[in-house]
Amino acid sequence: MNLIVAILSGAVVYAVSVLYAGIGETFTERSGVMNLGVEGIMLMGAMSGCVTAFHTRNLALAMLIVILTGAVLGLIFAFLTVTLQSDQTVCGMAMLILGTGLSGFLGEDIASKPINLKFTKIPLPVLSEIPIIGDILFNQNLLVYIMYLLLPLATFYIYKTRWGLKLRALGENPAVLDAAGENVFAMRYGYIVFGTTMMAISGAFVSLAQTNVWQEGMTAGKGWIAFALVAFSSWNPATLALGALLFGFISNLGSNLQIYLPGVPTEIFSAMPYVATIVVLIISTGNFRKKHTAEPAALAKAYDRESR
Amino acid sequence: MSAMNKFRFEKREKQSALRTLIITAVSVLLALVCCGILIFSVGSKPLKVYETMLTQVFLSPTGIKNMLRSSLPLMFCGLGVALTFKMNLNNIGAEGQYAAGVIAGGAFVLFGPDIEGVPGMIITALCCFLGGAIWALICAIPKAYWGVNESITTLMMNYIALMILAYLCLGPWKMPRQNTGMTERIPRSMDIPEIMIGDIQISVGVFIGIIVAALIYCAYKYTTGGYQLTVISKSPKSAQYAGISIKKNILMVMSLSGGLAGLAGFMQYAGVAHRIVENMPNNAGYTAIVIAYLSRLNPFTVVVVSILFGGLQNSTAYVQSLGVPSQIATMMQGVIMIFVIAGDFFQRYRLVIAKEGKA
Amino acid sequence: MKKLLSLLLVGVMVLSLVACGTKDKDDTSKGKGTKDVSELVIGELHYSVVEDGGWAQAMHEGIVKACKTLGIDTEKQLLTRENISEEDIALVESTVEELVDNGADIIFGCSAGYATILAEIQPDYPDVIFAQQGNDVYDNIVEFQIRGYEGEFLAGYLCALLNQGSNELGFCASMDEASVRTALNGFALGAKYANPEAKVQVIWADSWYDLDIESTNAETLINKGIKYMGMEASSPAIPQKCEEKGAYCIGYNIDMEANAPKAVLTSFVWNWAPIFEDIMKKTAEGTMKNSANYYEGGECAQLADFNDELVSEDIQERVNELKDKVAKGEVVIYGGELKDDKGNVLVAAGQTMSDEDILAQEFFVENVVGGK
Repeated sequence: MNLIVAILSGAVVYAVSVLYAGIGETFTERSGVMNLGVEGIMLMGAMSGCVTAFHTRNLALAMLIVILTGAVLGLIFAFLTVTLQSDQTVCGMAMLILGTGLSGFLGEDIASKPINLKFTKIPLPVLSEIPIIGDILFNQNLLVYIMYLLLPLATFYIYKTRWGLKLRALGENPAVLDAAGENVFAMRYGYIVFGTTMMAISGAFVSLAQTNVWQEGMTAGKGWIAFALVAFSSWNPATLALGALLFGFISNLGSNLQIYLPGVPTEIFSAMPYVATIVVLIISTGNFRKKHTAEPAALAKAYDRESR
Repeated sequence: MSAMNKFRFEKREKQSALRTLIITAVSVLLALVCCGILIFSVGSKPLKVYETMLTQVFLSPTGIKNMLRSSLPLMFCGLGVALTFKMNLNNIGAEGQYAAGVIAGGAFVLFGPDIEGVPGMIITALCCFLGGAIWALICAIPKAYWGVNESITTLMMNYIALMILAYLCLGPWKMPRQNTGMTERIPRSMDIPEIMIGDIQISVGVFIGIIVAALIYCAYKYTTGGYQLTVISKSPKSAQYAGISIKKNILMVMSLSGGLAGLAGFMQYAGVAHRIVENMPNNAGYTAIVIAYLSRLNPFTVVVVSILFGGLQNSTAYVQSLGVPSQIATMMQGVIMIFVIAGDFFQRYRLVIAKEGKA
Repeated sequence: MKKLLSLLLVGVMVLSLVACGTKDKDDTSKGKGTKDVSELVIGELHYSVVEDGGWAQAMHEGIVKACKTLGIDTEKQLLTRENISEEDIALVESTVEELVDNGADIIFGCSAGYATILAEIQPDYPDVIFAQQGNDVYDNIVEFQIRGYEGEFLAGYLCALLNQGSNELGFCASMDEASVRTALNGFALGAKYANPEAKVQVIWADSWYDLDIESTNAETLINKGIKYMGMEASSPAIPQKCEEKGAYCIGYNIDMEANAPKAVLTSFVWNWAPIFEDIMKKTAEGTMKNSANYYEGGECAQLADFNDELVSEDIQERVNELKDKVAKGEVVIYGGELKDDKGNVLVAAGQTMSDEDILAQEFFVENVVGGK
């Protein structure tokens, strides 16, 4: 039983570390824009949070800077993809490369130095006393709890509000919205900036909650996983959370199987999360029965008024 | 819209190669100015840095030799990726296909029959090609038949291929008495030769790259298959009406693209590194995506851009000697990309100054 | 077209002339000979930035320390090149050329992956000493390695002493490479020396750097009831997980106590400075042989200061006693009889394993559980 608690609680932490970025990317893609630069933006967030925390010893201020960093990067990306209508894949790659380089460069002074300031675990009164679930869900840090609130809000926003309806239309057929007098460009700007801000927070989660140190390239592929999970979850935040949990669960399980299934090459367990993602993706999104795909129809297509 | 509008962007009717060249050059120049400010801010002299890069990397014989070597894997991955992107297939898996190619080629060299020299090279190259192609097919089949998102499957397959490669290099294939993950050297008779042109040593691989680019170009222009691809890329619906099998083309293009990424592995294996090492692709597959886009999917441009990228990567070493941090080279890549992307806008549009009054 | 070609040819010719010109100049001004050690120019190649909190940092600190002792100006005469990935052969070659152009007398390859490349290009630069971290494989480059197992032996001993009432210890390993096996086997042998029944459960990350997997692996071990563990990793994820769960660990590469003061007992640290000092001195004298090989233990393979809060003075003393015994040769770490984890005899009683076999580490010792 202890084992399962440990595996699941590890899975929750893992899930949250990619969920901020995942939700950000979900909104961005729902608005019809694909941002491949998640990893680079996460690194910028991780770095800026650490640098601020190191110099000011103030976590709140650090998070504010993280959000600002994300927003600035988002504005650059939005300018390129929305205003200049440039190719989104290559813009995403540019953000990735820029973020990786810039974060290493700006963070050099504090690289690998312990910050000794982080989001510590706060057991919630009463709730954390619940057997099993309490320890898994309610003995976590503040950013995890915020995610608990954010997840239902995000899902509700997309599916149940007027704004969410517009967001979905924006990704499906922006021309219709434009014709209805909505400002397509402003909306896309907003969702892109929201997305990059969330990605930056994901990065800060890695550097200020999971550890408390900045090291070059420390997100080690999480951004890519977040990106993959978004399409995996059919652009639905609730499914996204399940996907992230599953991914975290399987990689935690692999660690345990090394002990309990000796003799099997450990690489097999280490590859499990990736294999599982492919298999689940094929099963859940394969249109064996001609199912309608949830992919926003206008995804990765720049909106050009004149060719309306 | 409003009477106040003085400036307006208008879509250009015609594209000209000269304009493309000029705009790209201006964008790169602006990017260099922007990077110069960054370099200046860390206390170095930008002009000195650029001069060093130009003379040491792009114009010196050894610089060119190394630039061409570094460009080899980028070139082949880039050519492969450009193929899939032309068909709107998001193949982010060149990294893994490269690794799979190296694994297949390595299996032949290390454990296959003792065939050396040119025949051995050709068989190894074929193995690499097949390895990459099969790795890509694993993602192409679900895409073609069930519409499964290829960007995720190819991405996940990268991790798996790299893990297998690391396992083999550190485990069963490891060169005895070595403490790093690498295999025995490939027989010297199978090295891709390098020829001297004037003072410059050039790998034959570069010429193979140019030939492959030419083949791709001709295939697009003169074959039915190439024509089908062009139709699909422009409008999948009309392709379907015309009776073109999209499934078949997905399978074909993906495996070709994977095969080319596998060949990139062969080029690095037989042409540059001469052994298989633990993390051989080293992000070439991701850089290839950038190269393919910056080249606007034109195979010849891919060759040129990969060579420039090879040089840019190598300049890391030279700029550090001037006190510039190692990350600057990566940042420069990012900044140059952003400016070239932004410059693209002016290729598609032109600025029109409208008269006062109604726009 | 013709014009263009001829222009190109002229350009190439001019360049080659320039290149030849500089080469000639180099040949006259340089040459093997004696030099004051403080005038040496040192180049170093790193696969990452030097502030990686691990391997590269330890290596860089060693070089800086050696330079300072010998009066070499690290601002001007130490040329540090970061992010030179070992996979990119052309980049490594470019970097070496650039370092030589800038007058480097010694080039340190600070990661094992450079060995093959440096050995292949060494003949082109006969006046430069190439010093490479690695086993004694090549005759044309200086190779150096530390007997890391000596420090890890003490670490394993320390953990087993503290691990009262249990025979189970843990080890978080990154990838299955010789350097990692050296650490793991050394740790296990030390544990066995303290407690013949001690077993070391290893768990692999199969990655050189992954915060999530590292902390998950530490947690897996802790959940199995393991309280003391060794590690081979560069991130502070494992010490921090131990701190959170009330377990203890030995830091690796550099002193990690500041990262998790309630969990890190001590750290295994690389002290490369003595080796580097010797290489630099001999190079200056002109007596450095290309075929030389360093395989040093003692002060090179040490533990950092103990965490006094967690390790009592009595235990500290016992570890230090063992250290002296190893130094004096009273305790032979790889002495027989030694078996591997499958029960095969590695070293017969009364014999000692050869350095060659210790370096290659193609085995796991008897009390390792979960070896590959």
